[in-house]
Amino acid sequence: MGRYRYVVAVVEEDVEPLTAIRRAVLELSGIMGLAAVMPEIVYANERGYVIVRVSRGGLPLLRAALAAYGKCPLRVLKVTGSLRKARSMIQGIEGVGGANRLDANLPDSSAKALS
Amino acid sequence: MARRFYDLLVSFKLVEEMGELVLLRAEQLGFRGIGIGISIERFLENSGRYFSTIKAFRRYAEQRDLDVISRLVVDKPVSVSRLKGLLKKWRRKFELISVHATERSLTAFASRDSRIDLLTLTSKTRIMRGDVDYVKSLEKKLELLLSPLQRGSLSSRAFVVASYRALLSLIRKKNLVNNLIVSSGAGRIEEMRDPRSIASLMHVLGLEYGEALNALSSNPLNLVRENREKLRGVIAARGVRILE
Repeated sequence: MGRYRYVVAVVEEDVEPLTAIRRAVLELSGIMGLAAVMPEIVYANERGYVIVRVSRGGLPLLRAALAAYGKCPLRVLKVTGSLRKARSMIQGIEGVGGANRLDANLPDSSAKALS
Repeated sequence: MARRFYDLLVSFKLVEEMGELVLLRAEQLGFRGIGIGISIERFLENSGRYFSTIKAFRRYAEQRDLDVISRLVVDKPVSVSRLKGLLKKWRRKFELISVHATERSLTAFASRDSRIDLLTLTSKTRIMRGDVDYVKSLEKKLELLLSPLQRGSLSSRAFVVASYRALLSLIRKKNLVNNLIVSSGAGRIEEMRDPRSIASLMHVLGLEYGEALNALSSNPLNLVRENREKLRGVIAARGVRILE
């Protein structure tokens, strides 16, 4: 098992995802929590999909922070153990027309962030 | 077998405002069923509207293979006698009835009356030994909501985190983990979260991850199944099941 986990997510707010993640983690668990998570964006595309690399032990903390954050900046789609799998998952989603996306079906703010 | 996740509390107001988008959101987050809860005050203003909306909503939900559960939420302190009257009149119309444990007398009554399915724990809840005994013997469910952790100032949220930690510690100590249900309590669509993130949050607050997943899947599912059987008359009384 590797040291990292790769979180495939879709950005739902009009924000810079890494800043939003850091803010959420800091809010729930402070600097110690952020040190445990160590989030890094390793892939992002124009359609709003991102891959966030986090340390394995910090994954529950990241998800907890996103759940407890008032306005959820991103929605987790899948967690994988390798970047290759994470990338292929995004390709798979986009290949079927982005079936997991909300696009126009969401209220204004979220839809704007996705477009 | 894949887990079937249930979010047993989404506000009726949200459903009225957003309609089918709530279903779409629930489906995308990985839920297979949602409970549409209406507060007692709003329900008494216009009871017919709730049932007609739920009926229409169920038709949409069926197309998406989602389960919709009707739920009455007693979220404001009412007197015990008034609550008894309400239960007598409305119990058989709802699949779930829950009471927010904000007042001592209400908490004590809700934990001993078998017509109430869920005791929603809040940051103000005080649970006594007698309540725990009733909850165990009547196999009642305890519920924690996600929304108080998302709303309000940092200090109020910190207070909620502290209360939830204490409640979860008590639940584990008293062996009530199988009676626990976690719901979003969403009043806005942005407050809905995917089940594994909610489970992670509960894990951070003191539950085992597997227990937290059960609190979002098998525990609510069992409750809904049992209540539907009760409403159909399959379960005539506690421990009595009518076999065709």
